[in-house]
Amino acid sequence: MQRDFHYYATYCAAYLAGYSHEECLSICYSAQFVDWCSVTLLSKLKAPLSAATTQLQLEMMDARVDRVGLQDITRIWASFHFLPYDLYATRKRCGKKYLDKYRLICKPNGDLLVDTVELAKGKSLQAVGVAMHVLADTWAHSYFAGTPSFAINNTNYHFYEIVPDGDRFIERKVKFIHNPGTPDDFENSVYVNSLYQTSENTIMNLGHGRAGHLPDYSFMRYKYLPAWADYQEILKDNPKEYFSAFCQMVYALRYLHGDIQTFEKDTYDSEKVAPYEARIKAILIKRQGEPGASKDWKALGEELSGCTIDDFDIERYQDEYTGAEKEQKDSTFLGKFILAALSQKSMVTNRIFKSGNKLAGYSIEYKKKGFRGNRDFKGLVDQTKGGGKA
Amino acid sequence: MSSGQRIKNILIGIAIILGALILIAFPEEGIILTASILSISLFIYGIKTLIYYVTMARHMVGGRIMLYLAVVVLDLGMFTMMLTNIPKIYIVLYLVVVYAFAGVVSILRALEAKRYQAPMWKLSLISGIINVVIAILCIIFMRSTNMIVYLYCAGLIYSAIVRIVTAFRETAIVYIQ
Repeated sequence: MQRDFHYYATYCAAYLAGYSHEECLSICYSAQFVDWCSVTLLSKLKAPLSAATTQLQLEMMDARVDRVGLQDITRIWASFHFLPYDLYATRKRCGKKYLDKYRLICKPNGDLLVDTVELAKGKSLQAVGVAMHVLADTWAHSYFAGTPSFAINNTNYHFYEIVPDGDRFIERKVKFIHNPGTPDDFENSVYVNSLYQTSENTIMNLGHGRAGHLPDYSFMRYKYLPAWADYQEILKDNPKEYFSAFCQMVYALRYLHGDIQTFEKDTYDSEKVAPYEARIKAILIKRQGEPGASKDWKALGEELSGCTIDDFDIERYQDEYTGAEKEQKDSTFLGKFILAALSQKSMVTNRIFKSGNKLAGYSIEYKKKGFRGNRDFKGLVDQTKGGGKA
Repeated sequence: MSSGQRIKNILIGIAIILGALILIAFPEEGIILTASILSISLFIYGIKTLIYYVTMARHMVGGRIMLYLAVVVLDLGMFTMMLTNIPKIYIVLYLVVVYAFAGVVSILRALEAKRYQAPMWKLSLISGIINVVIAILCIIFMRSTNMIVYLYCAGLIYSAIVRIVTAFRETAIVYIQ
């Protein structure tokens, strides 16, 4: 998913869930900021580097893929972009090494989604935004794992786009190229993907790199053979799945807003969305990239609230954070985002570790052993002790 | 990282540094040793690929390619191990590719960091330039056995130091219920 969904669609969902215009702006800004909060940006802000929620392309190229490096990568991508569906999934005649990776495959409506949404309950608007990013990505990034893996994330030549042609659909073979500077060609189904590399842990095999940006386009329908699916073809219908994501976001946001008492899996607020269903589906199926998709969602959001939605500006809250005194940093917009990110990363790492899987690293439970390990998380402990909203 | 893994990494790091120092002390014999290390690495890579096929790739679509790759690499590794004299040019080429690639990535990374106004860009740039300079030195001193061994050892010592430093990193993540 891109800015259209993480920023403007999240704004629309939050507004339909009952948040005010200003609150919606904070939520959607935080949801979109997840795609920008890299180690490079955090080092510029002199903020804890462990709060990184994404990696820039060259950060990934430069990243070490030894055990510790892989754990850093997995913590970021599994926590924020490829939430694992079933940490205890089984498959016949597979060893632990394979299962550890297989269990990180992302899909909607896993137990970790409930944990993610519940973690944001009663917390800051920034935490709500982070949770919405994670929720939305479980739909877009289904069937890929947030860890480098050739055996799980690879795709092959059997990759077809399902393109509307009048009142029917036709199949068109997708041609992948590897030049990241080339824009995707929707007309001829020529898309950029990562290089084919047979090394299990190369960064080229992280997430949906081998499928290019196809999972990120709301209009895209495609079928392919995932490396892990034992030669079973998967049909991905993004317009349908993005609509489910939107309805689930409205439901989750109503829970976080306090209108619903419990958050349950596989539940969608179709009722609130119903008056706008046709309009939303029309945006979702339109064959367009950026900025067209964002423009359409923005127009819908502004119609809903009657207010202007400012475009996403990465610089907006940086001066507030860098100019704040050390003790006040956690109270700034970005300070709250950083705490929310650390909290989500800590929770997901803990769940993965507890399942006996070390791919995201080691987790130490504060209750049992006190504070140990990475000092970047000290702020989270202080905040929790102080009873603040992380 | 568990305590056992930390200790293992430190010991491997120290062993690599000691090995590199021995190579530096005896560069004439060092070139033969360097070639042998590269051959053995190829052989070990072949075995690792075979293990990878059995444990992971046989479950994946098109995974049989890894079996073929393992057999070819293993064969190549054994073949090069049996050669008494590997032409120096192959070692030089290996070093040039490794250093040049690392250098270019570091420089691109520095430019990206500079665009984000992140202070780390200078360090990345320096490291990138050093790598590129080493790659150029490899080409210039292609005929000098000693220089090739020194440059190879510099890379070994660097990766050993990174391994030891990583072993001391606090990597565990605290979780608060």
